[in-house]
Amino acid sequence: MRMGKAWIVARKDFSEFRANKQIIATLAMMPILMTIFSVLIAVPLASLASQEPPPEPDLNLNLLVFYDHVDLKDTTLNNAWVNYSTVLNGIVNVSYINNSTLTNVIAYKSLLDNVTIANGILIGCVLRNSEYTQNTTVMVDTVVSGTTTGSSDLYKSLLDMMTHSFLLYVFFIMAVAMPTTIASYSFVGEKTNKTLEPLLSTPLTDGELLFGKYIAVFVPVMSLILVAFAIMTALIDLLTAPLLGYILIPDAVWLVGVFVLTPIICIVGIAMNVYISSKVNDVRTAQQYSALIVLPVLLVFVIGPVTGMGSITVGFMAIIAIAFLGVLAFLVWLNLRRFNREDILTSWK
Amino acid sequence: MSGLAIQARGLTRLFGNKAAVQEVSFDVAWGQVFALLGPNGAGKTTTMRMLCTLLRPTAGTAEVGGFDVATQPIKAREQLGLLPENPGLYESLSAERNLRFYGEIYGVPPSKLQGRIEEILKTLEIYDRRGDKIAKFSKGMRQKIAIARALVHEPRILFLDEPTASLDPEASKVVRDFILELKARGGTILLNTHNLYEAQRLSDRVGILNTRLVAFGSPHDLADRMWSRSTEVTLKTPDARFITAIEALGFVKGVKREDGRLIVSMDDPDNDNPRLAEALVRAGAEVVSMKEREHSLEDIYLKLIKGDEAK
Repeated sequence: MRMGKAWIVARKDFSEFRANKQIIATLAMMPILMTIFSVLIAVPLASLASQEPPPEPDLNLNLLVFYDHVDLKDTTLNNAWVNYSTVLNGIVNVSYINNSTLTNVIAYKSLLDNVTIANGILIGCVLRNSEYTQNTTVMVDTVVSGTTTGSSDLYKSLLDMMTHSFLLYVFFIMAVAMPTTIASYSFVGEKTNKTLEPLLSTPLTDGELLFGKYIAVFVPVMSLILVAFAIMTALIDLLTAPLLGYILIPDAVWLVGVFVLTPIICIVGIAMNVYISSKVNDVRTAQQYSALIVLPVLLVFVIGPVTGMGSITVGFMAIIAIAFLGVLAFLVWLNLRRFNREDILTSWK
Repeated sequence: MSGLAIQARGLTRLFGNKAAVQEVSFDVAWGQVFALLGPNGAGKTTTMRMLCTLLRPTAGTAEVGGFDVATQPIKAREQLGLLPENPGLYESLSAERNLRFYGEIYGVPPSKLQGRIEEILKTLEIYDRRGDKIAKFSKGMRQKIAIARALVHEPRILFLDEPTASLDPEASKVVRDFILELKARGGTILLNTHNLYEAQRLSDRVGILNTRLVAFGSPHDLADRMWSRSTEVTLKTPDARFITAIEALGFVKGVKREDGRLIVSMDDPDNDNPRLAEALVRAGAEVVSMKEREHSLEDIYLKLIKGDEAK
């Protein structure tokens, strides 16, 4: 394959895109909106997460009963001091629990010190140096302090989720959705404008023409995504670093996501668009079908974390990247088989 | 430069079970203008597309510029420039950008390309509008740019599919004159057209296609093959006795009256016309004009196509 010929085709397409303000506007819209949206989400969350925890309230404990090294079950404890014990299925009310384990317990206005809680609800409590499972609901008027684990800070965990999962998904979706805008013009446009016949009579090979078209879509889409990433990162860090005291993004997950997985997803999106273009005969229909391409990509990144198969980690992305490379190889093979002069002029609808 | 510019042997193309082109064979020599004529659906565009390597022949072979269209398609495409039925230009790009793109694809050296673009645009009298977008151009202007595109890499063989279809008379004339100029410079051209006047004016040889090649040759040769030679005589006062007088001449093969003129069939008008004139004058006729009868391409075409359809 003569790369120079493919590049000539790509440059011609760039010129066409540049001359079409509608394409530029449609293409730029998504990264601009996503950058604004990301900053608007990250900055308020960082602001909330950076706030000092409220002082521990005076619970006015008036301890009347004392339990030490006992196993309590189906019990309601009022004004109790529980030490080195286990409580199963009960209510703990205005009490002091120390070095114990609570399971299926609702705790109200109590001091829990060095306690392990499973499946609990904590209302107006003070939680120190403790640990709770994900199934425990920590009401916002509960104060958490010491080395408590279990996602102790609601806003920090939200900020973490937004910046390391949700916003990264947005980049993946942009990578698969943005090619639809120009790929439809690039392929179906040649067909509807009847520019294919003279183009196909030139000494270009099918592979050079196809590769040129891939470049023509890939370069502007990835450029816009990288510019959006740079602006978003700069804005988020500029606005959140003074609040948090550290740089929020990028980290390894973001770098692998943006520089490895996003380009792969983008090429898969282009290959899917090429296939759709060979099946339809107007730009609008191509774009409508292409919009459906986003769904399987969404599904991969939503089903994964929801089913516990994996959150967005470097390992998870490596698995997805390998899977997408497999899909890409199949699509490129399919398109090369379908993309030949004979089919374009006779069987392309 | 040796051999033939285009050589087709038994070229056949089926779409499903339907034959678009059947066993078409012809040659085009270098420097010749060859016109393919035929009714709609006769297979003219399919033949051109096979020669331009856009469609594979179902059977038969073809060579363009000495390269087999099936086994050496890229080499064959390097030899040709194509003007398809639809100009197929990039509307949002300027005329110059359209030409530059094609020049680059064909590998015209950058140092030469700008000069080449300027030269063609000036010849076609559209240099002043080189920076305008194609979307702003009239049909005639677009056709000129499409011709310029087909020529930007100086192809050895030019394929023109209905070059003046849908153009107004003025634009058609510009395009025809340009083709004549290319012909005068020794260009090899294959022309698909419905326009018989255009074909007669521009081409050295014609092929009449109706899925099969019904006839092939120069318009003059075709007429000779289809009709005996004859002389058209206009008399001031046509009279039956003049017919009797010339029927008595040994070289006259037949006489008939047509629109007040006498049509006299003979083998060698160049030799026998003086004797014919003499006989008429001697019989008392006043001869107004006398010329060898010529058959137009339209006569040839209609006779051949009607004859083919009657089969």
